[in-house]
Amino acid sequence: MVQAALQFRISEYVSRYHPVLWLRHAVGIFESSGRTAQRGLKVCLALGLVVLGWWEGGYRWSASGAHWSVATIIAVTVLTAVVLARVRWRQGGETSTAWLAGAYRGVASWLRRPSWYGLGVIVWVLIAVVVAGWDLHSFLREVHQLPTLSYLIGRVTRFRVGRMGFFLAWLVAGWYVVAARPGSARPGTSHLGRDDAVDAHTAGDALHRRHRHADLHAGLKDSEHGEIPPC
Amino acid sequence: MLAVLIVLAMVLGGVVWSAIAGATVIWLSLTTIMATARPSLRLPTLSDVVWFFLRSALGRWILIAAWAETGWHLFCQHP
Repeated sequence: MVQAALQFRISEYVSRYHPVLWLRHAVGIFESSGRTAQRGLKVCLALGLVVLGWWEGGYRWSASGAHWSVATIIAVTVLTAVVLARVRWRQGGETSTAWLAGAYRGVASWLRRPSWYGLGVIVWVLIAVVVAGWDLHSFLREVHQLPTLSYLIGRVTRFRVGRMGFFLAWLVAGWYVVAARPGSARPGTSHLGRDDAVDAHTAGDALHRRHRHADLHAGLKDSEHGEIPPC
Repeated sequence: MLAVLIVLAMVLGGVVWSAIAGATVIWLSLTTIMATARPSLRLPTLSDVVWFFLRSALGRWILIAAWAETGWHLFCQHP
């Protein structure tokens, strides 16, 4: 009688509190409320970034903690970029040679037929040259009257909130540069420095070549295993 | 009056940096407004400049190198 009661209690316990059941229950909740979980994940990520920024903001430039944390972030970012570069290469996209050639063609085309858009590109180049040139000039003179850009930023990053703000902006910029996909550009925004017709032709051609290469590669792999690829 | 006092209190380099920052903000605003308000007279926006580099692996690696150097310089070297 006692044994039967004990067995009943054990089976009841197992049916209620078994880890597998808990796991199933948790997965069920996760699946049923996918959007809520995604939102929660984003909130957690944002909170984590703020905490990381606050922690990093407490360091001075000379602290070893600042050195290894920034170095770790750079290393992780570069590793992620290497992995994603391999994935992007498989997906197809513009080769570096085609990119350089396209930029050259864009400049040559603009010299032949100056356009409003090309003028805008020149202004951007001018801004970059002025910033870099004045910064270099101030750096070489080394006088109090001519502060460099990093000196001015240093006046802000000496405070915890300032350093935190710059650090978070730097993290977000790094994430964007590494994770932004070529296909996610807005239409009409990817023709900087290139002739439109040439751009479309070259990009389409490159993609076609890459797909053809991928198909041939897949076919070769199949034939190695004794299978005939479909024609 | 306050603006004049601020300019007088600033060193020469500060004035030049302020002028560059002002010109950049004006240009950024102009390109953004033109891109939405007058698509026929579209000027390259900051997003276009970034995407020009992100289109190929070489351009992306140039941006990543610049990003890494900026971070190390700002947070780990004497600013």
